[in-house]
Amino acid sequence: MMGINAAVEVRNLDFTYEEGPQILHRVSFSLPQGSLTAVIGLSGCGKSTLCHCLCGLIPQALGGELSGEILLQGHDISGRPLAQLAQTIGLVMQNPDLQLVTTTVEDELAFAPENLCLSPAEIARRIERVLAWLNFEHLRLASPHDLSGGQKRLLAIGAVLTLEPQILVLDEPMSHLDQQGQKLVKDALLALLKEGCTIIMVEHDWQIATFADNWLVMIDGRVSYFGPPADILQDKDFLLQHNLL
Amino acid sequence: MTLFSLVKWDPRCKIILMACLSTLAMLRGEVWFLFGLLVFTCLLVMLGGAELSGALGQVKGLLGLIFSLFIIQCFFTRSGEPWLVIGGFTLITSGGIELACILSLRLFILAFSALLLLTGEVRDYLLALVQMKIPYEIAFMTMASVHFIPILREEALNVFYAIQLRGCELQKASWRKKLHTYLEICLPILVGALKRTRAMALAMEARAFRAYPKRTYLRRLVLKKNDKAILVAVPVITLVLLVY
Repeated sequence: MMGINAAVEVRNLDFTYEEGPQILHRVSFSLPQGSLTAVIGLSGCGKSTLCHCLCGLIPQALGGELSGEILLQGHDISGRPLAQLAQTIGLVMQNPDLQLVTTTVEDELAFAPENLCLSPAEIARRIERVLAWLNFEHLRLASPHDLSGGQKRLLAIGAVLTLEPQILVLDEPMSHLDQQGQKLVKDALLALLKEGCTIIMVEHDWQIATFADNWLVMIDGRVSYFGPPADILQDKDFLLQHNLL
Repeated sequence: MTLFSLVKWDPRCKIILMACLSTLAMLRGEVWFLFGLLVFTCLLVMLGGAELSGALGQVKGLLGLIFSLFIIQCFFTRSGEPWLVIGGFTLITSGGIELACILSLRLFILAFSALLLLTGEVRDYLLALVQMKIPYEIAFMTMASVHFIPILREEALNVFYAIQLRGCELQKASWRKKLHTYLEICLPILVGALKRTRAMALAMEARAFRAYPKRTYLRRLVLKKNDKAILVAVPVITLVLLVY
């Protein structure tokens, strides 16, 4: 499965939190460019930990003992500063309320490019691009906390997209959203996919992730299945055995 | 009227004005002066474009505290002429009344001068602080804490309601029980706040926060002629009022 054109390649990843149990066991997979992969598994199986490893937050910000290799666009991420990684891989966390840190939509979108010391003209260009993509032009000066659940989630995605990463990781992007909100996010992800972005989406509810190209099923920190969802959905015994059905 | 329309003032002017009014309130100790300063501050707030109903609502919460401090100063300060003597025991003195008035006026001035900031946007004050050479991290954290106060308040109320829904009748409870309950409420709120802070820090790290020693800004505040005049005049007048 290891491909030369892989956007993400993970080899024999083990992770243990300081003075805690081992969370990830020999995790290996390879994701092609421009694909959408759903990481499926029950709560506590290591999905979010895997996301934090891919983005470099583990071990740089969260600590712990990590071994194995992670390659993004063919480059090993070990030793690369978070700021540099953020321009390759963007992370949208589970709760948008905790990621929206400013008082207007425009400032929220400006936050990341400002951190990268880009020129005001370039910051403005990126904001306009994301505002148009989100169809949020009319909400430019609105408070992020006044938006609906779906809009907040889209803004959290947009705020990461201003870094223009080639890979996007989303931790349960559909959770706590009604059907309309879920549709908004799903359409946005499909649009991103058309632009060539590689997307990794963590979901505990597999029914939401049927539109993904591949599923990576995790059980107790191990990869139990990696491939198209259609194949695993036929294996009812496997799904029942692991409480996924 | 443009000069009095605080909405159009540069945020730096409002911060300096607030600082000067607060300094005068703390360093001058005459009742007549403080009363005049309070009237001036109220007029500024009213003419400046702050929503008076909202402004008074913000100050209303302080009334209980100011009244309590007024009573304490009245009864516990023993200087000046006795004003109220009961059974040979002096209850209230002229010095007590004066000190209580000074303290109350000071608190009112501090509260009303802070209301001047309501005429602007939080994002502009953040920029103003940065352009006043305050490190971005400090300016950002100041604004973020102001931003998170209502969220923490809501969280506290949720815990409070949850405890009541579980059968704890706080209205009928003794003071000891109430105190114990409030202490119990503090723990989940504190834990929640810590979790929130950690998640926020992670989200900011993932968006390249502090990637470089400096950062750029989409917008820049530019001082107009009026603003420059205010930035010079207000500190000079304050200095004069402090000296004379």
